Amino acid sequence: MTTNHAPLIRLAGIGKVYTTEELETHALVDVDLEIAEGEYVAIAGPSGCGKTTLLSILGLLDTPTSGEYELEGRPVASLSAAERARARNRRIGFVFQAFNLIGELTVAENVELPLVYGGHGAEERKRRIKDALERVGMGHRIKHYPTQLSGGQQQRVAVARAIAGEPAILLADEPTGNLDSENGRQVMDLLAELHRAGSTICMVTHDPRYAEDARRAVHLFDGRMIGEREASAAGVP
Amino acid sequence: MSGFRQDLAFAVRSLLRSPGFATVAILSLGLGIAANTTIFSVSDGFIFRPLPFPDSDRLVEVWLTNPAEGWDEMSLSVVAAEAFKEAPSLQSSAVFTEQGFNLSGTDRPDRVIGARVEHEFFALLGFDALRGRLFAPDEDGPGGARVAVLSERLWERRFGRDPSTVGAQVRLDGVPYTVIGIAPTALKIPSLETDLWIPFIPDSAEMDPATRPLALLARIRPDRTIDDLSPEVEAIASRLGGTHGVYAGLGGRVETLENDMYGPEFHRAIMILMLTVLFVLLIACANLANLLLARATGRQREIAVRAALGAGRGRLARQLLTESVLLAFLGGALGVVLSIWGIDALVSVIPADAPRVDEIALNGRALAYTAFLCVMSGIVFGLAPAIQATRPDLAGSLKEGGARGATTGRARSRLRSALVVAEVALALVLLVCAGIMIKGYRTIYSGDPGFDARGVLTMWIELPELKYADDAAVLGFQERLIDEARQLPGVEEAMLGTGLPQGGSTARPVAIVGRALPPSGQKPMIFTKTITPGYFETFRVPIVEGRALDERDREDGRPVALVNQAFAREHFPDESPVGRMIELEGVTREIVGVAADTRDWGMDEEAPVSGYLPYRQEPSRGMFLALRTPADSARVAPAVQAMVARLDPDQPISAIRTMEQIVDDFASGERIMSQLLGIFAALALILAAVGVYGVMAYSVGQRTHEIGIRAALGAEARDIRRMVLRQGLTIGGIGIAIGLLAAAGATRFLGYFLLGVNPLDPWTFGGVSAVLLATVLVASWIPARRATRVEPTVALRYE
Repeated sequence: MTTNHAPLIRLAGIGKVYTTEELETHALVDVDLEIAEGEYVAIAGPSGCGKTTLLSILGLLDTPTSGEYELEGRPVASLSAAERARARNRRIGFVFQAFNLIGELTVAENVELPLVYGGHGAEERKRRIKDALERVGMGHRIKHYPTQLSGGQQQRVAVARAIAGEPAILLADEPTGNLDSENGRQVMDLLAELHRAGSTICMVTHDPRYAEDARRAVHLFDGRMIGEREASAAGVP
Repeated sequence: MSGFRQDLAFAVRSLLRSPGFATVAILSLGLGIAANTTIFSVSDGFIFRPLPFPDSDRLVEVWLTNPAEGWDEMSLSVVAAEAFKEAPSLQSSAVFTEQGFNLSGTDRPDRVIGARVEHEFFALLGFDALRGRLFAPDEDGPGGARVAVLSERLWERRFGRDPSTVGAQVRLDGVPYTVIGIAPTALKIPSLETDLWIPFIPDSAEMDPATRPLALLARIRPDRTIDDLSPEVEAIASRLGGTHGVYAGLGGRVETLENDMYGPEFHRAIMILMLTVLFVLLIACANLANLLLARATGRQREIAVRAALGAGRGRLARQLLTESVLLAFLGGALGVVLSIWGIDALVSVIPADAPRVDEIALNGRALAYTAFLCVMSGIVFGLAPAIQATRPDLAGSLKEGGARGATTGRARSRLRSALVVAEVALALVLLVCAGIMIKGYRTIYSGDPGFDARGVLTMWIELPELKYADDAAVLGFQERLIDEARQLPGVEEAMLGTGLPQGGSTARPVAIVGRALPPSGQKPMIFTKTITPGYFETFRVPIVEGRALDERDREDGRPVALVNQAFAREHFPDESPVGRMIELEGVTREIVGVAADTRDWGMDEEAPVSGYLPYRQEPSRGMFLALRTPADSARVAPAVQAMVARLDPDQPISAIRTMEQIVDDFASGERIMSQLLGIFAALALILAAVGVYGVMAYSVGQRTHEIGIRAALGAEARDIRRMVLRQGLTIGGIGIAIGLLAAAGATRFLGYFLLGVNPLDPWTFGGVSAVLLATVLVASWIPARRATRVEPTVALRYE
């Protein structure tokens, strides 16, 4: 471990097996990982290595078939579906490769969504929407629909939605995967800026250039952790 | 042509690959088309098809009217009929009157419905004899001949189509008549049940201008219209009033034969039913369009591939339209099969004596109408999905997964929702109309008719003049008949009467002795029945004042009458009528009692001003026999027939029916209408529920990714469930709101069929809205539950 902070996330011996009628696929095998508060961790590896599976387990979207997972010191295996939903809403923010904005909702309504599920009052929601969108530079587009925005702008809105609830950790799944290099760079700069401001970030990427933006990179191959390195890229604290 | 064959073959394969989709679409359309084919067949049999007479639109009937009393169809006297015949716009005309006959001279006595007609009657309707000949000019009128024309039906039923029937003699009411011809089956005038015609030879009583037993059938000249004839008839009626005091204040009216058969309410009922089933079909078609839209979405890539390979938009649309029209024809085939059963079921509940009911059948016209509906349903409701589907984002559809930055297909989703909104609105309109009719029917017919129809058997017995020549003979037979009837096992009470509750009264002018006539100079009317003692016990009608008619009221005694409460209210509002004197057709009678009101004109009409006369003081050859039994009254019918045969082997009895059947038939129009509207409204509700379920299920399927995103962002199961239910209720709510507005207009169109219910009845509107909302909720619940099972990991899936 390379941080002095207490671990926000602790995985021990995590395994994930997908079983079909004819086949048993080991997506993750014996993965150990700790992420401390304030860290910026990249999970890197080629397509099909288990990156997204690991991220979905981290984000409480999926459950491991074996091993232990503690979030902020609490084992998540015992959480009910409703408690997992609440934990996702209050402690975790997601940024997806395909942005995953809802086309029928405006920019502001998309950002508001986790706040509605979190039970925040109207005034509080309004303030947080404004703050989040201004932080990502999209304060002037609040009434637009996603289809009226460029890919880079949509991903900025997705980041605003992820941080609006002030989560403990931001999970980003290939956040530049659907963007050209210029927009991809801008989104990475935005994540770096959030990290500098204190956010904990865990990002999945198969692009080595972006993996270097993170302070620490974990490498997966065929579902196993095969290495870990400290990043030294400029601009990374 | 080979292109069409290819399209058809592909459409068949495509439907076979999607049996669930095809089944729901065909079933939906089948039900909608069956309802339309059934009602079209019934409407066609009744009114769409012209009457089976040449230029039937020029055939009319002429009536007297009494505007002061609100009567618009009064029969004519010989004098009036002869006067109306002189109208310049008439080409030809014939007097006729219906009459029942006891037919004998064959193996058994029979009661048949006949008519006395002038010789022009047959030519007027364009009929020739099937065998023999029809009446010659010298055979009607004073000094005419005793000849008869039989219906083909009677010839077959009673004479086995024996050719020698023509020229043979039959006895009608004991009088010999020579059969001169057989009329074809299609001649059903004056009524469906008319089985023989004899020449009209007026007797001395009928020559009295005050006696009005006749109808006048006429044909308008080809160069004139009914609008030309109407003022002529009015003018003739006015002249009659000047020359004959009994016609003072009366008017004249002309009605086409077709309208006269059915009346405006019947036409309105047919229109309401046609619109109702059209609404049901529209709902079914909206379901079809929704299914096609959903299917087109799933076939985007297939369509894009076809387009990429060079298929033009028109070619693609033709392919999709071939599928929708094929579906419509398969639905139509199912509809035709269902309608065969539907027509049989409907005809079985229509009274057998309804005009032209025997012509109702699934015929070529109905099949052509069905084919038209299929083509229209397939093309019109397949067009929008075809247009949508053939406007693909070619590049996007061919890419793996297509663009997924934000959820897509908003326009298509809106179209689908709009279709369901329309379905819900249409279903609400039908449910409200049905609800109001059913409420009106129940309110009226759950009321007290003033008599007890249960356990009463009725029949008609008419004594022939030749055999029962005078009153003594008539009364002698009737006394024996009633005495024997009361001795029959299982009979508690029996009576004879010229009428029953709900039918058979005679309208007569009445005067209250000691009072001046009204300013109009016209005597008020009273509807009378001539009855034996036992009438009120048989029908359990209470005597509220004075006494009932009994054995004291003999022919040589003081003339008496009994009146009903309506008469008492009308003429003696502040005093008792008992002991007061009235004058009826020259006879002064003492009122000896007051009977409770009975709703003789149906439950939706007030009791008419009525009176009862003792049968000995006003004998009648034709009387109903009614018997009260403790249970199933129909079971005593054979014993009654045997008893009558013992008394007079030549005496037929006819119209054997229970009183409950008579009451039921009296309200059959309203009952059938409310039942049909109820059935079609229920069908509409089911189809609308299928529509809502289809849209919500499809929507959940389409929104799986979005629901996954929401779950990933922390939405709990209840949030997701609430979201889906809210969407369903929004669609349903908009549909209900629009439907309520439309229903507020539609119920006014029900007119008579409102049956006294407020067209904006809040209970019906509120109740139906609640039922529909609950249906929408149930239809949305299953998709909502399915939505809560969406895994949040789908948010991470890019494909």
